[in-house]
Amino acid sequence: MNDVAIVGIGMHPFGRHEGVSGMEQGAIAVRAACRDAGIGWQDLQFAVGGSAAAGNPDTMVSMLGLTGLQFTNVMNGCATGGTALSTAYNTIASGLHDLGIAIGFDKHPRGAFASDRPVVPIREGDNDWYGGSGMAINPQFFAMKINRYMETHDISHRALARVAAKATRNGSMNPMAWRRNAFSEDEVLQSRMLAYPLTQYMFCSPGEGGVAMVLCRADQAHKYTNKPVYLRAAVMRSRRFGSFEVKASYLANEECVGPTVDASKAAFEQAGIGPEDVDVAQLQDTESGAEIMHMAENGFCADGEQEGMLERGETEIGGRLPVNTDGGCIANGEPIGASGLRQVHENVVQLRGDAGERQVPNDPKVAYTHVYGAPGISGVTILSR
Amino acid sequence: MEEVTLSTRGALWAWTVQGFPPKNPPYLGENDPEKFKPFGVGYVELPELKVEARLTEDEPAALKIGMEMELVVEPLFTDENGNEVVTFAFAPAPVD
Repeated sequence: MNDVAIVGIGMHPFGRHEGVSGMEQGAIAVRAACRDAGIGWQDLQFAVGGSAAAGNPDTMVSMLGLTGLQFTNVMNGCATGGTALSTAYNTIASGLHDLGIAIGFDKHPRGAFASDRPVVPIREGDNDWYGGSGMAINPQFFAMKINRYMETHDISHRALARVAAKATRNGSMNPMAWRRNAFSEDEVLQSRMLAYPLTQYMFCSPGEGGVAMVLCRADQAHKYTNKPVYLRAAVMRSRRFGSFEVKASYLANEECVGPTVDASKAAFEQAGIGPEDVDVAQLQDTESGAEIMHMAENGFCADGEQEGMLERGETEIGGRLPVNTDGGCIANGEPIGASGLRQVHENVVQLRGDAGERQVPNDPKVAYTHVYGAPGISGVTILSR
Repeated sequence: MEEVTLSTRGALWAWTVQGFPPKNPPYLGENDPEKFKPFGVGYVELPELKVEARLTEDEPAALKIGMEMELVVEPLFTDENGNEVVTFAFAPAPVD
């Protein structure tokens, strides 16, 4: 198995961009990543692209160059970016190719994630009782999961507000973020209640953006950059029976951990390190409760410790374990195909020391990303320099 | 595949209160913002499995994990022929 390095990164700003298609945002990110690596599109041996709503990624060749390269499309809901990266990683690790690119982009209208069908399909001819009775609403799942977690592990409403305020504060220092105004904790708590206990400002919104990264065999990285970042792990896991996931009209009584826990354990094993070795982490923050639960599910703390950690500022940029240093999904919005790669992009910027006013101090060396997608998919990467 | 009749009582396992009117389609209940009333949604742990359902209670202060709930039927909407259409829901079980 070859070691794999990230040698070029590029991004189109996240947010709303009238007149620029999602695919064009992806192409702009690709050109920026190639420039960063000092290569041309024609040098790439393969591409992996993911988008939920902005078109078939392999048709990007008409924008970028008809070189005939191997181009694989992937889709795993909100975890798509993670899949694009792990697929690209596997292509090089296996020895099939030496130089390729992972791409993610999307463009979602307002309200795009509002409602859905249940995972257990409604039979042909049945009325849609699930949506009809008002249960097919994504915010409800996130609210129920965090509400139960808060009651069980003594997490306060203020903790939810702290996470959202931190997200917008970090976003205000990120020129690529959508939301650039920081909210106070009280503003977060007083915003409209969407699904108890989650208020509007605690949620991410469907949005737009594009990210690309050039990967190569680690022993060739010096050809492209003097600041290579190495992929120590890139794993994907799906749900097992008994886990609590989105769009479930029923749940088994036998409980099981979610795919996040499985992906995290597998990634730490692949990298040969533990959570205590991580200097900066980007964790899925669909809403602020998700960031809190994912801190524990990814092994960074025990259930309930998040309350104290947030009070003490341990997940701030200057804290013991900076989390979501670029503002996360809350400040950047959620273009499904791109978010997983946005997280890796931020980690590369941090490890290179190029994060400007949001730079994690003390020369971070190990960075972690975690994505979660409906209806129960998770991807984790671990990077080091 | 066999049909199993589920129990009608169980403990509240998770809950929330839907705060904004769901879109129609697919929602069939009241979604006029002027008339919308928040409604409870949760999972009730029956002996057989946990079922997701509407809850008759919509006050966060009155909902607690572990509280005993029982199956009821509640009206959802009236169709164009004037028929009341009902759905299943769970209500706090009366304390013995």
